[in-house]
Formats: sequence, C-alpha cells, structure tokens
Amino acid sequence: MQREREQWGTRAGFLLAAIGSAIGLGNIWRFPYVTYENGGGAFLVPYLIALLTAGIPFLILEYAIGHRFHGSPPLAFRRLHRRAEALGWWQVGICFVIAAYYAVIVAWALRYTGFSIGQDWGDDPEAFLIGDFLQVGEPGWITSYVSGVLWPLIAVWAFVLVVLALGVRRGIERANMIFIPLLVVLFGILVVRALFLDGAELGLDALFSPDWSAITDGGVWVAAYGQIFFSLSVGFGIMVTYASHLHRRSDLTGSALVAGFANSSFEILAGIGVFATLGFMAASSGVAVGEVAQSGIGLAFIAFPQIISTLTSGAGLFGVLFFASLVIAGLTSLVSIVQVVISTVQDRTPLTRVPAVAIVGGAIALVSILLFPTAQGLHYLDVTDHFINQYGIALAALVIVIVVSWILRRLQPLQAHANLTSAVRLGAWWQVALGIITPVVLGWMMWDSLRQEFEQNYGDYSTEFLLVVGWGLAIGVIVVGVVLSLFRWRGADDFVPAEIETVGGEGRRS
Amino acid sequence: MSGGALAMLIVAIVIVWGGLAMSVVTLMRHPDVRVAEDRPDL
Repeated sequence: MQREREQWGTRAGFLLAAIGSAIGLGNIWRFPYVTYENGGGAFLVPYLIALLTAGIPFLILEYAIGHRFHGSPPLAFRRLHRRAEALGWWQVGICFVIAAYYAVIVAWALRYTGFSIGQDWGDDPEAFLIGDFLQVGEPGWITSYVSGVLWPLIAVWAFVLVVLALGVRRGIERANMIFIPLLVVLFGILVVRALFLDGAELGLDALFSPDWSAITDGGVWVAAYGQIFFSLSVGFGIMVTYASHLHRRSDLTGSALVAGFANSSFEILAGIGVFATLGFMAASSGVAVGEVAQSGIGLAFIAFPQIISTLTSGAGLFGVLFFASLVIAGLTSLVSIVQVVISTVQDRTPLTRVPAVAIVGGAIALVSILLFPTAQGLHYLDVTDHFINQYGIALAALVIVIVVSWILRRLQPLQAHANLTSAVRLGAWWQVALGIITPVVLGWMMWDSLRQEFEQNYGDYSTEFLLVVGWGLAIGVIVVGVVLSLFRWRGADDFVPAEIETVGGEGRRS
Repeated sequence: MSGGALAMLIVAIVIVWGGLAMSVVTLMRHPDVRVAEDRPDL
C-alpha cells in the first residue's frame, strides 16, 4: 500500500525529534559510569574517535537509507534490495520488544518524581524499591501484579499513543519541540545545583582524572564503541524511519553531525551532574567515590534517592528535577521506538495513522502492561534488555553494515545520495568507517559478548529462564523478521527514486 | 580537582560542545531548499 508520507514541518523539528530519540535513559545513567570505569578522562579519546568513526557514519547511513528509499525499515531495505527486507522487519521486532519494557522504566521514574517530594523511600531506598515499590518475586512465571507500577505505566502508554496518533508534525515534532528544551533546562538546573554541593569536586576529579594506561586496553575501546552505538539510537531503524519523513532537499550529513554532537553534549552534561552528586554522597559518607559509583537502575532508583534524602535544603526539588528529566528523556525515546512499528504498519497495510496506532500501538502497550508491572517484571526487564541489546541492536547493526557495504555494495550510491543535498560532503573516510572499522569493532563486541555468555549465565539466572526470556526472544525476533519478509508485498517495488536538484541546478536521480 | 582532571573536563567540553556549535552554524548557513513538490501538509 503506497500513500503520501507525512513530512516534518521544520528542520528544527526533525532535529529535535532525532536528538530526543538519541537522548535517553542511557545518557544519564550509563555514560557517566562507563567513563569512570574505563579510564576516566582518558576514555574520552576512544569515545570521541568512536563517535566520529562509527556513530555519526552509521547515523548518516540510516538517514541516507530512510531518505533515499522513503519508507519504514522493511520498505526501505526492500527498496535497497529485495532480499534485504528481512533486516527491516528484524529492526521492527527489536523496536516492539524494547518499547514494551522501556515504558515501564519511564513509569517508575514517573512514580519516583512524586516520591521525591516527601522522600517516600525512607531510610533504605533499596529495600523500598525491591520490596515496597516493585514487590519483586523469584524469576519465573508471573505470580502477581503490582498496582503501583501498573497505573503509571498505563498513563505513559496513553501519552505515547496520543502523541503518535496526532502524527509526525502535530504529535512527534510538537512534543519534541517542547520536551527537549525543557529537558535541557531542568537538567541544567540540576547540574548547577549539583556543582555547588559539598564534595562535588571529588566526583568530578574521579570522573575526569585520566588513566592513560586504559588507552592500550582493547576492552576500553569496545566499551567506547558500545556506548556510542547504544546511546545514538542506531541499529534499530529509528533514524531510517525519521529520515523517511524528511523532504527531498534535506541536509543529511549536517543533520547527523548536529544530532550526534548534541547527544554527546548531553552525555557530558549528565556525567558532570551525576558525578558531582556522587562526590557529595562520598564526602558525606566519608568513603571514596568509587564505592558509591554505579550505573543503571541502581544509580537512578537507589543511589539518587539516598543522596536526595541526605540533602539539607531543596531535596524535593532536586529529586523532582532528576526524575522528571528521566521521564522526559525516556518519553521522547519511547515515542521514536514505537513510531518505527506504526510507520511500518502504515506502509504495509491500508490502515491510516489513528487505527494503526490504536491497533499496533495498543498491542505493544498490552504486552507491556501484561508482563512488566508484575512481581517478575524486573527479572524480565533485566534479561530482555541484555539480550535484545547484544543480540538485537548490536547484531542487527553488524549484519546491516556487512550486507550494505560488502554483500550489496551500496555504500557508494548512498554516499552520492547524501552528498547531493548536504553541505558537508562525505569522502572515502565514510566508506572506510562503515565498511571496515564498524564491522571489525561490532564483530569483536559480538565475539566477546558470546564468550562471556557461555562462560557464565547472565545475572546468574537459570539456563531455562535465559533460554526462554533471553535467547528465545532474541532468536524469535530474527525468525519473525524473516517470516514476515516472505509475504508478498504488492506495490513495494513500484518505486522510482526522486529526482533531486543538485546545487548547480542539474537534476539527478540519486 | 587535579590539573589532569580539569584539563580533560575542559577538553571534553570544548571538543563536544564546540563540535555541536560548529555543526549548528554549518547547518544554519545552508538552509534546506524546499521545492514545489515538497508538500509538508500531507
């Protein structure tokens, strides 16, 4: 089914949506700890090299595929080559799974925004999170539902589906035009406050002191490339989808540079804010920063509540700023993830936007609501997140760069397409980055991850649990992707690339 | 803060935030040109 694609209203709107997608929970709770653990200030060298040699080149690749072939991932990859369609469906499956569990973390942050006002977690935030709030049970089948998570999760899904139902311009673009500046203001206030806390300099010293010996450690380079990949929202089709709504003469390379540097700028800001706060915690507890430094759920829902309770003034406001920032960063990313699925259904079926959102968005929401606000929800989230990141996003990115650069050999025409409309011209470096550097690093990451997987069960979960919730899901998404690509798609191949006017005025078919 | 940490903090800010500023300026100097066929209202 072919229909006119909705377009972004303004370039700023597209950029803010792309930045909103890239800036997510990982920027706030993953980057600071990864930096600290991998050489501190010295980590920034491999990090910046990874940004320029893999992150931004991959971002440009996704923009070029989406813009050139004018479709959601399955349609765009099919137009790239008929047999590549399965890659797009694989990405859609990954988005379906990630959306289902990502929403529940946003729901937790929403509740914690309220908890912050009265510091409802009391003296033991860990016991509060695990016991009182999440009511975590043993891994396995669902034993009970947790109403304290269920209701905010329903609210999160209601918001996301309304934004998507309003469309690309009136929904996604408008929401990001409000949320991204708001996020920067809220988080900026938090960082300024954190810098004036006693001990803030200890935290910053721990984060930025360079350990130059780390540069020679291959694991540090893998961590840098991993952080860039997971942080930039590349590899699961979001940027293909967003770029498919750009108008013909959009500057692809310039947009990718802005989105990539904006994402890293926010990560640096988050590192300063988080470690200044951890420095305060270390100083007030009389311990080293290394003893309080952590990442992920532990940082956000255990360490930060502890710190907030220690503040003598403005504790409630500090908590609201932190958790509201998590909510906003999470919502804008969640909207972009679900949009991949919605856009695909619109391309593949006669459904218009609102029915597509109601049926397909509703289905993702239902899965999310049935599985995650439960006593087993934290275990499902932990295992699903690990396996879909490693053997979903990272593996899909690896397969895509190999297929596009080595099997189909499409980098040259995609480079030419990006150069037609972009002020910053791509040179041979772009093909080297995607054809050699990115596959080598991603391949090494995959090998290293698989080696660890078979050495020890992830998170010490039972093999049976990992086989069903982890491996089963990661492999299942691939199988579903391949199966969906086998169905006939009428009209998908009736595509003629748009003629784009070059700067010199001569029309060229890209 | 140690001198090394302060230097890396400044380097990180200058490169990353400077990179963002330069990218934005470059993009603003080359505004997208809309052609008649682009119909954003669709």
